[in-house]
Amino acid sequence: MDANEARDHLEMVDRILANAGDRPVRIIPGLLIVWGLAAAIIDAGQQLYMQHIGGEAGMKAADIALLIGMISSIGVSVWLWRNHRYERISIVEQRMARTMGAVWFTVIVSAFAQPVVFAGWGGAAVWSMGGAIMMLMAGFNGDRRGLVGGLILLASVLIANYVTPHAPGYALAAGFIMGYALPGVLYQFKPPHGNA
Amino acid sequence: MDELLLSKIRLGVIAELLTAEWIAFSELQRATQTSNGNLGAHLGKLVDAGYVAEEKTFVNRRPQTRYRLTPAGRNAFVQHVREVQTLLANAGRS
Repeated sequence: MDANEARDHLEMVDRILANAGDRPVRIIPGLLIVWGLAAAIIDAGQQLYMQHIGGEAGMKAADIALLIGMISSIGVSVWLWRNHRYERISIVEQRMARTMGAVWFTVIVSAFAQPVVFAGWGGAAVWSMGGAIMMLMAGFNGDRRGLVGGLILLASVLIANYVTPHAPGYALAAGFIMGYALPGVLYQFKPPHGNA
Repeated sequence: MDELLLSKIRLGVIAELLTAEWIAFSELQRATQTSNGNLGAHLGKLVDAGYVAEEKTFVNRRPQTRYRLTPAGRNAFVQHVREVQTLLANAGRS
């Protein structure tokens, strides 16, 4: 190997590593849309329930609808995850996926700490925080839409804390739609650069 | 220097895999801009040397072959690049 060839090889390696650093972390858009909408419906449904809107039969129907919504969200998520064909998974994405697994596992376990530990809207806010962490992780890895989505979710928690007692659920629901489902729609129609 | 990594395509494959958990054959082909057969032959050598691990799976009922860098491949790459840099430094001095 002569010096020219050596230089050529090292330049190629530099180029490949620089390109790898520019690749954004990718998220499956369908997961954001399904969970964003499901969480928004649950938050808004809970608000309606607390305001006794729709009578007792309506509340029971809402409970059943929420349960079906939750189970079908899990089913759709598993299907989307198994059928999403990636051509490349970066080490950053793999680590992010593991971190997200830890975050959502913690969030799901915290759902069983209601209503004593997480009273009132505490349980719902934990879900919003989980969503915010997920979006902010994408944001801190260079994805602007993720950053905006995470900030919207965080803002929704703060707003929910200060609005009238008739609106926290709607504030949290709006956060999930604007900060989670909407970025999912945007990812669907305009994937981040390098979405192989 | 590592004989296997003197090939620009094989070095490119290892560099691509360096920051990846795994990469599918088709994506490696796009990245290295080589033909099917040529890339297959280079990957075969890397797999035989234990630098790269191959795994076959199905996604959407379609087969997918994935490659990931092994610790031996990572060490060989680091050592090789160090030696190439030394060669360049010596060439610059003389």
